[in-house]
Amino acid sequence: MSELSGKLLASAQDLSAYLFIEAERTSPHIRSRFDEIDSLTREFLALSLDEVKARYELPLGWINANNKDLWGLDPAIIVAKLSPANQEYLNKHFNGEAQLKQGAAWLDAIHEFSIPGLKYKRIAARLADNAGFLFYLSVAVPALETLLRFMDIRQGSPLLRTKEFQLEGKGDLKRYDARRANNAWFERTLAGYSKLGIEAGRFFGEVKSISHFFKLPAAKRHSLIEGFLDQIREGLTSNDLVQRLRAERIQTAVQAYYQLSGKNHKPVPRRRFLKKAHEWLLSGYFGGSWLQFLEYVQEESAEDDYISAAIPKPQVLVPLQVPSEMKELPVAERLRILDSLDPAGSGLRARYNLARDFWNELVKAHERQKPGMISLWGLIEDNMPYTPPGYRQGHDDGVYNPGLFRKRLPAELLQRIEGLYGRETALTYPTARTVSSTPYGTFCSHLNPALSFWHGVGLTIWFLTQGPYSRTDVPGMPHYYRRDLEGLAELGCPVDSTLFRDLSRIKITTRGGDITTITITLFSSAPSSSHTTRDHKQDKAAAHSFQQLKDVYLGHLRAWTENYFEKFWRGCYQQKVTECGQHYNRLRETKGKPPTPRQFVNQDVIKVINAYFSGDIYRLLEVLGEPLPRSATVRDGDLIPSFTGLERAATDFAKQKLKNADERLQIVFIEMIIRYCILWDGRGSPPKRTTFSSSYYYQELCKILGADPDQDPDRAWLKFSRTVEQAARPALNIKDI
Amino acid sequence: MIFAEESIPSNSFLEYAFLKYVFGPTMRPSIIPLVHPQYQVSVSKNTYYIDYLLVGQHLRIAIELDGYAFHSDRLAFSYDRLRQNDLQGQGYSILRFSYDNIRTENARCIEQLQTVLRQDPSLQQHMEPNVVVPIPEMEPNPLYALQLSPRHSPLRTSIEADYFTKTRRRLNVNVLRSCQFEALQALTNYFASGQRGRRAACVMAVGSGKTVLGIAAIMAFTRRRAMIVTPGNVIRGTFDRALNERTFGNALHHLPSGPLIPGCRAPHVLVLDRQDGSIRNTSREQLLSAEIIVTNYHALGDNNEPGSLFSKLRPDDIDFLVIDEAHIAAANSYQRLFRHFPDARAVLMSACFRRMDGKPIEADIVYRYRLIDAISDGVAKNLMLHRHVADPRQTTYEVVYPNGIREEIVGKDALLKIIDDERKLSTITAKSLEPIRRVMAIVRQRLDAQRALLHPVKPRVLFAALGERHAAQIAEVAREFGIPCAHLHHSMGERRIKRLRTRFERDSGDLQGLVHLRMLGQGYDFPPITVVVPMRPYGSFAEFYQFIGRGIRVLSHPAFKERLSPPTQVLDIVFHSELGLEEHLEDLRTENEMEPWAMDTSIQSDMAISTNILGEGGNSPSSEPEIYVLTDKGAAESGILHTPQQIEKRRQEREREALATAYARYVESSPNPISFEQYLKLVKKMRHE
Repeated sequence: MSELSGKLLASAQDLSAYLFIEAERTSPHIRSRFDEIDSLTREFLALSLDEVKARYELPLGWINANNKDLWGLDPAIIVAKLSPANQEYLNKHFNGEAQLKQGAAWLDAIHEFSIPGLKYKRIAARLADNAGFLFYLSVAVPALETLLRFMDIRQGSPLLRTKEFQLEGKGDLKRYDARRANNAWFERTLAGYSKLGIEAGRFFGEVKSISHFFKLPAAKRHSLIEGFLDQIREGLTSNDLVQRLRAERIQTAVQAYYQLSGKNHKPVPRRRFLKKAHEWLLSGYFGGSWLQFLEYVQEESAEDDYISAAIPKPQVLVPLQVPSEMKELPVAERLRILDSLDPAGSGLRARYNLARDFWNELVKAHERQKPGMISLWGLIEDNMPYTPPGYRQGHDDGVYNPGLFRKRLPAELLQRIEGLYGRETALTYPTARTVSSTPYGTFCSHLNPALSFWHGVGLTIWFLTQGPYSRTDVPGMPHYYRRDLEGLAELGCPVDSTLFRDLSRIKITTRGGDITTITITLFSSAPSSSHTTRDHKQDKAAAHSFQQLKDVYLGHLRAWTENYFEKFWRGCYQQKVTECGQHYNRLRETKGKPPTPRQFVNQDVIKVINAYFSGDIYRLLEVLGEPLPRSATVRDGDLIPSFTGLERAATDFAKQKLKNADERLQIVFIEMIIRYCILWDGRGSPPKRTTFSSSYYYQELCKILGADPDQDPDRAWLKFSRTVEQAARPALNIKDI
Repeated sequence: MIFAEESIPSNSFLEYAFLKYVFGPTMRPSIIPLVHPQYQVSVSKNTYYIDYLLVGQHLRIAIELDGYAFHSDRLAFSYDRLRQNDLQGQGYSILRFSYDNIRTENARCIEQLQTVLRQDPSLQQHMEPNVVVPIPEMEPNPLYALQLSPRHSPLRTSIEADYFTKTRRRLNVNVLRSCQFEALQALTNYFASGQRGRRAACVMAVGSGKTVLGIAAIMAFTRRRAMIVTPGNVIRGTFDRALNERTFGNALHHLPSGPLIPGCRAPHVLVLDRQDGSIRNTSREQLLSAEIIVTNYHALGDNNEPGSLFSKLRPDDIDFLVIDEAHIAAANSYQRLFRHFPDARAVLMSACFRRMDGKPIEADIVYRYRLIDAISDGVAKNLMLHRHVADPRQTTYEVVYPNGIREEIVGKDALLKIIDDERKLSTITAKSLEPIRRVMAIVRQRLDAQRALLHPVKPRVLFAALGERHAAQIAEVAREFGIPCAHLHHSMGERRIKRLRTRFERDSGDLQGLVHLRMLGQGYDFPPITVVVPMRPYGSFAEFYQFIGRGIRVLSHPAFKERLSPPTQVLDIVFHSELGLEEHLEDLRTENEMEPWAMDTSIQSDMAISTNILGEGGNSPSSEPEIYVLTDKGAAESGILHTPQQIEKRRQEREREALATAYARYVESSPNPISFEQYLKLVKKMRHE
């Protein structure tokens, strides 16, 4: 066996040569493994094509560009049809846990699969737990993508009707146009098939004239495509198509290896080689093992390489209670220890106390609710549209009352929330923090799912009896709130199911509607008069039914609070931080070194940092037990002294500058000014054009400001950014702009 | 009664307190002309300064003031004892008062002074007949003696001085080992009173904790800003870690008995190294913002060189110097440093009396702590020698001449006739495969024995080699014997070296042995090294001693508490009889006044050693390519694929490291904190999976 094996493979002229070198140079155990994978692949692909044909009308209707998994297959169905030998092989060799031990850390993550065949059903699965998914994504999907590129509109196929498909481009929605297909695409695709040993010339000859092709009757077009598909299906069993599919993929990776290795032929470390496609390749053909790949190309591993055989479980620090061992120490010393782990006044204990006080106020607010009052929709700040002061969203009918929390909750409580949640970090600047635009919103969302459930049920019973409409009724509640209920049960804080039983025993009477009486005076020239009365009897019955529902609801809420609130809060913290820890450990073990803050953060991590650690990423790392570098401090942006001040300045400016414009545009402009300044403060430098330029409203605003972003984008951005800075200037902590 | 403290100069608070609470109440103003503060006396080559000399008609009374009471368990080498003997030899009567004497028993001090003065009528006449014994207002901590005398002008900026004034008060000497505390006492006595001297040296056995002493000395004696000067990157790194409160095992907070400066924040430390160009880019303001600057000799630069450290620091910016491994630097390195900071006081620390250039250390040795002391105190391992004895008469040497002819020569003497250089012969033995194998067999055996003894700690072995190929050869043989081993070389690049060290040092790492050249020199200190193998001859004793010292510090592990007390821990020194190391071992023994060695000697059997030598014009045997087998795949894989156990262990290590930051916050807030170990235990209860 020559040391040059990998290089020979990389430089093989075609796939036949590649397969020949592979057969000559690689060790027998690698070859036999490939044979087994090929046999499995052959059967799986053939069954997939059959399944597709059986379930969908070809070619239209089954390819949807927005679906990532183009072939719309549920791998579980195909796996069930495999021969017992292949099934056994699949379960044995696509065992995620075994691959994890070889360093395939990417299999530890939970992936969401959107499978068109299972419409509306997204499957969240940990790849390591499902051999079928693992094989499907690592071997079958890439193979199918290669085989069916002739009809894959993502790969530029023109063989689909113009109006039937749309493509999501970058920021723009572009209509796909078959006429744009050119000879280059046909040549490229034909070459691709010929490399695999598929004779596509005849088929392409018939479809090459697109205008002619689309003049054919639909049935003829279908049969042409189906004919070519049958030809591919046949190729799977009659020649070495499967081997070639494999060889094509592996050769690309081998070539990538030598590209990275460079002229000096240095061993390539695993972390440099690993990208998404290569992760799938290792999982598909090398048991997830980098070392097996190296054995295949007969190369040495890099000296400082790192492969982790496990992802450690994070151990989260929960400094909320004094352990019994600490009780021997003087009280002051205990407090000092706790403070070192969890700063007094801003740490978890302070947050828990605040959450508990808030919860009590929430219960009181629902207790105070009486028929005739406005609804409590608006007491919790959820994902409703941003409303600057002086603007209104919704109607004055007392149904939706944005900002109600300012009236119904004690000012002192809101101040505490502002104090603890008033500063936050973001994805683009994870080691800095600035003012938060929605401290109360951040606070509320950290109490979900308990808050969304209990407040939601409170609102439902109100709207059932007092409101103009309700999103659900009592029998529908368990389904409507199923996600919250599952979440609470998972945290060990279940809602007693008797709640729904008790509620359902109460007779629901809805509030009476308005009855308009019109008085017509005959034989008179005076205008007719009208007046509105209400059905007071029904209102009374509705009030009674609300009171009964409320009593049941409050009884359960109080009991749940008593039994579970603390457990819920702790559990929620623990669960969310543990997820961050898992994410961190996965990144760490994949690369063999700690991820940078920017690599580490994602939306979920940012939420946790803002909800529990005042936007300080290093506090999260400390809690996860990760050492900090000496210089680890979060930069506190000081550009915006107060969010309210900025909001006021932006509102005044927008009202004046856009006084003739639509109110919606004014609100968007205010939002943009705030966003611009927050990004500026967080990043430490003003944002770039690309941050805003894709927005429709940006284009509109530029035009109002007198610059056309299409004609002269630079000038338009200058104008826009200058105006924004001018607007915010009175509220910013800067001397000169 | 006179106001002596106003009329007679005093440098330190100790001198001021003596004048105010003892001398002043005893004497009349007429004594003042007879008092000579900081009186210089030369005895043979030594110059001493007496704190206060009283000159009478018959008596010359030398008053000596000590920060700590004048006693030491290790009087044999006490600077003070030598000094006292010298002064007595010159006819001075010596009166000693310690800080505590003055504070708690000043009536008795006054009495003692009176008793001596009465012996000389010319002095007696100046005594106050009606003595009023004052109540001293002095802080209980003897380190307060080191404060500047209130008569002194205040320091330039109060901010600079504040930090060390606070740490001096808070310095918790109880957490120091006895030898460190004794050394600190000796230094306190040396520095507390006037100008007894500016440069004190502490000669302490390897592994006795000089780094901690250096840091404690900085906290005790610095007034403005301290500088630590080390001979190379390794020790610089050791100090950097020791002073970083966020690092596990730092000297500020993680000493076994508790933190060194409870209730204080960690000092601002600036670590400077020429390699990364950081000195050139560091402004004077940045330098002045640090309380401690750590650097190495090479980084100091010339006084005239623009951008050098010297050019950025004024002489009075630094008032305390710590020089580690003082025996290594050449004399001119010190001189430049001392010239630039003429008024700075300095502590020179070393394990050897002799500098590498053979000259004595230029400072007053105030404390000495021998290896035998360290062993008996349980801070150093016992040494056990394992010598592979070859029978030189029976050794077979194979000589390969440049023309390819091979000749077998039996016996060392016959070979010496050809090469005529015994030192070269040692090198040949060191580099030959067979002797390495013989030594390795003993190493294997010792590691097995140590493994059983030290469980759960994994014993490690450190080899010293002559060159890179030699190092690779030793590592290869070690692997043959089932010892996962790698070698280090300067040419490897920092990342690779770091990685290899990590693999060796972490419990979760896979390497059990490491072969180094001079990479892990002074300051590298790793207790799990329980076998050291000098697989090379040594010219300098200091270098040999340093190598042995790498594994001399005792291991502490919670699992040992009951079954493995320090005296039972052993450092095995495995060597080959033909390497000429016996002389150094003998020096080690005699310098430390140790008992004759308990030698576990493996007698060479009759089997001959086969050694290849290339003849004249040829290369050294180590250049023979076939000796150097490439790293086999199995070994490489074992270093790359990390098992779940290793990964979990590493997570725990990181967790421990991470808690250092929180603990530093705690220590800063608490005047009487619990130890890091206790803290770790408590916090563990708050972790949830």
